Amino acid sequence: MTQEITPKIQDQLNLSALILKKNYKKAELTTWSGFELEDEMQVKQAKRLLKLFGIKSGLHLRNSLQRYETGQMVSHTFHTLALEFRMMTSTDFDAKYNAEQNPQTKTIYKMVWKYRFILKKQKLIGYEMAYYIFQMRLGHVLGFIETDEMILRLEEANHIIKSHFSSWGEFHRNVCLGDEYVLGGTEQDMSKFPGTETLWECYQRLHIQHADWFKEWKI
Amino acid sequence: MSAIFKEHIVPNITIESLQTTETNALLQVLELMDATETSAYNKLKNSSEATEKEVHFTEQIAQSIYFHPRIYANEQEGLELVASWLPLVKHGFYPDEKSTDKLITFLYFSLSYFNSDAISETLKTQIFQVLKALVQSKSVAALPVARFLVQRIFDIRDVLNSDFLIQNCINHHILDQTYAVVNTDNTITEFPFKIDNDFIQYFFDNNWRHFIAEFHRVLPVGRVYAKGAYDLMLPWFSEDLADYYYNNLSLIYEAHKALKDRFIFGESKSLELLNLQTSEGFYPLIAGLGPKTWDAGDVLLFSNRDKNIPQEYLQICYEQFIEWLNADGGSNFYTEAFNDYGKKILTEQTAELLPVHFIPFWFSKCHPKSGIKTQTETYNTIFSKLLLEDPKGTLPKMYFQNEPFQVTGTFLIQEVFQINDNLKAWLHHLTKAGISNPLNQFLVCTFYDADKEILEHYSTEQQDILQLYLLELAYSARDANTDIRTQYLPLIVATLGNLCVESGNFTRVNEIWALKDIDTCVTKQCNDFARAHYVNENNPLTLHIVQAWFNYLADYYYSFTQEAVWVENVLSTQGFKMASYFNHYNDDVRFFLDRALNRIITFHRKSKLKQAENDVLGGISTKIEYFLTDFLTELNENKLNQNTVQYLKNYNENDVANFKNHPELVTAIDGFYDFYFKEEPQTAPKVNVEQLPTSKIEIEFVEINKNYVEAVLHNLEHYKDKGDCNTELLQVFEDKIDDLKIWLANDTTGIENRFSQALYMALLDPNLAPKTQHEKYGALCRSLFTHLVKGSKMAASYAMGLQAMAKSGAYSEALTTALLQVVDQLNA
Repeated sequence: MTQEITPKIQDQLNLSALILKKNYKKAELTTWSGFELEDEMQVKQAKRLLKLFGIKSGLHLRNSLQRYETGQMVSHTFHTLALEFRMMTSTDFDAKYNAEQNPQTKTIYKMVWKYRFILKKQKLIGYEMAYYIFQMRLGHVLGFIETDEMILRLEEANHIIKSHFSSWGEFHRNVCLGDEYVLGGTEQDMSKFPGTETLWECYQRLHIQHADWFKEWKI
Repeated sequence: MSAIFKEHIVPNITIESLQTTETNALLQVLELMDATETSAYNKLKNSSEATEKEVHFTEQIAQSIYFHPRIYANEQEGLELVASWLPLVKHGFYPDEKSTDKLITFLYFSLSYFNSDAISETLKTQIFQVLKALVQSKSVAALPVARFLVQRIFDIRDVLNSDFLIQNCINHHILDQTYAVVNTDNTITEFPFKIDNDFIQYFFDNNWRHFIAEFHRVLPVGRVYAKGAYDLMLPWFSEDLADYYYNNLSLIYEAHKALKDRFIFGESKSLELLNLQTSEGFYPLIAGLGPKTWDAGDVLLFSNRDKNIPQEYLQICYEQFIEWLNADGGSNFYTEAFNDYGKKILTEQTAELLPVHFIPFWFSKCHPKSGIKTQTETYNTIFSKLLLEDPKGTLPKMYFQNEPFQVTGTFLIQEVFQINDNLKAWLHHLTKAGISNPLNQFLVCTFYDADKEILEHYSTEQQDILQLYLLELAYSARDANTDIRTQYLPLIVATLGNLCVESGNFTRVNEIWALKDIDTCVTKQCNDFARAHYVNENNPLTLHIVQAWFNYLADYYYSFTQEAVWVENVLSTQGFKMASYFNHYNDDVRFFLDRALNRIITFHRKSKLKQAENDVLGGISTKIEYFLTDFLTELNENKLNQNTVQYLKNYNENDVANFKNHPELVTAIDGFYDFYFKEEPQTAPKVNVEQLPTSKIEIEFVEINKNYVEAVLHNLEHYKDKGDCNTELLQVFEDKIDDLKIWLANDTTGIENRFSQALYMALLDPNLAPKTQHEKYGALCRSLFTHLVKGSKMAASYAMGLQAMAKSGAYSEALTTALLQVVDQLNA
């Protein structure tokens, strides 16, 4: 049975709004999944995304959620690298940075160096939990997860996020950083990925369309 | 009365010198011919003796009636004459040998005229009735007339007349009853029209070979959709004919050819001849298809075989059929013969009658890699109907080595597929086709049927390939229709269950378990499978499994117990087992158990909080309590960390979520608590140090021991809170620095590091700086620190740290100088 979306649930779902929009531009943010379940093309799109994440069943989905929740997806590697950098002097870091050949790794080094103290506690948990909610919504398209369970998990995700961040701004910054950390560069090459938007574009649009959603940080 | 008879026969009758019996016969003839008005009749009547009644139709009289070659000179008149005989032959007055010969000669030469339109239908009918009477008569005329007819019919040089005779013989049923033969002793024997030795003797000079050749020659001749020689001879077919064929394979081939020709020219199937049966019930013409290489015609013939033919004769024919289908790169598929008849051979059958060889044939034809697209669809339709009809997924019964045979998975794997080296490539192409492809369905049945034996047929590596293949197939069932999905998915899951028995590969276990979301028909199966792997009494526990249990506790909780259903079994049955596992675990598991208990209690708490809204979620907390009771009552007391025990104890003090409904559990936790916090106080050193009466220590007699070192350490760590800078305690160390160093070197509890760290912190304390109240304490610290750290591994780090702190500018000049001195000493 599909539950009604109360303002409280909407607020919790909004934690994934940015990531959802990034992955699917036409997403309808006021629904459970963001996808129109009656529309074959939209369902197909959701399937494509699920395939991208390797989610073939409810079990895959829950295992993936577990990995996001425990920080295995991003935070662990970030944490390890930040820990290493925290012990380094800037000279050591420069040496390590210059020795690295891969430009993508270099970008990551630079970013982690910058945030090694600032994100000591939060790591990239904001990004991970946003993905946690986003994947739940995707899984709901194919019936891998019911709304009852989503509500329970949303509460939990909401709790984790709200206890790590103190405002929408701070949270969304973490999401953007996570995205950058995972994908490398901030700007995608538009000639390679026509029609895709950067997270920054999504962020701006989101704030224009739903300005009132992201003002109050409801604990 | 016929005009011819009146004009030419009656006047020429000689009545002189006739016996009475002959006169009587002649009288009857004339009466029959309706010639009672003639003078001849009167004369005869007068001369006859009324008393004598006997009738004797002698040769002489016969000749006077029948032998008139002069009249035969005119074909019209001749035929009319023959026609006029009808009443006579019907009455039993038959021509003698001489007249018969003449008649045959006449008929032979006038046959074309007889066949022409000049002769009216009535006359023709009459003549054939005469011939019929003659053939069926028991007289010398019978055999010659019959032989004449048969020879003319077989004479395809004159096909028009042959056909004329055939049609009329059929219409008038002339050659389908009996013929009579006069023996040398003038007795008469009647024979039925059957192709047997007698027939060959009388009609074909006792030459079977000759007959067969003629027979084959005449078979294809005739008009389309009209009856022909074959229909005429139909009643003649006999077991003798079959027996004769049985002994001559080359003749059978000739017969096949004749039958094919007959089909091509006359579009008639000749079923009776084709399915000719010997006296022993053998079908020589069908069996004759076995040993030869087929062409399209043979397919046609075989498709027309009798359905009652025992299967053992046919198996070799099916092999030939396969050969034919494979010949020329399978191009025979496109022939009319296959379309009209070849398909029929397969579709009219049940698999029980076909040889097993059709299975490899099917696979080679329809394998996505080797198959030809235009053909696969047809073959798949045919074979899936044949081989996959059984909804229970059992394999079909077929023929193998000429015996009915139940096909089994083991047999197929070992004998038919025999794929050892390239299983992966072979399956790869099939994988893409999905479960909707009948080959895949058949393979699924095969593997399912092999059951547990499947492990014996494949190496570990191959088993893995199979598992991946089956997993892919399972997912393809999402796109298949409901019937296929519900029929094959359970088989796939069962087979995967057989393949994945080795405990430990939980990635694979999860992959198989995950199939439950494809269709509800496998939900239980998949859950049982996962349960068997995660909760198995026979398998030893590992830390991974225990970890997995509590990871899936989350799924179990969030899904309202709908997912990870086996977690319930874990909670209800595995508490003792887990405890005894950890009791015997040699390494330190306190950290692991701390995390595990923490997680369990997190969910206990969540569940308790939801208890009011939801029974299901609330129920989980009860299950967790039972589990914890089992586990904690069994677990050895020393397996938990003190903090964990404290955590449990504190949790129980909580108002909202606690274990108060479960006294046994509370008792168990209290047991741990008592163990750590009451019964063995020596494990809690703090208490000891607090009690140490420092003021009473006689400094001079102080011995460096554990108690003393810890007392000093306690003072160092807590002087700030208490404002108690006990210089005397430190002073002892200053005096006995060597003893202290030796003692620390022998200590294994890490006190030395704690000591250095405490001293370091004291060094950086501005309250202990020179020229302050506790100047002396600070100086002692610096001195002790230098003594202890100098030369150790940490010296460089401490020196660097002190230097950085000294230069930070946060300290007074005096302390800065003091710190730099220490640095110098350390680096010296």
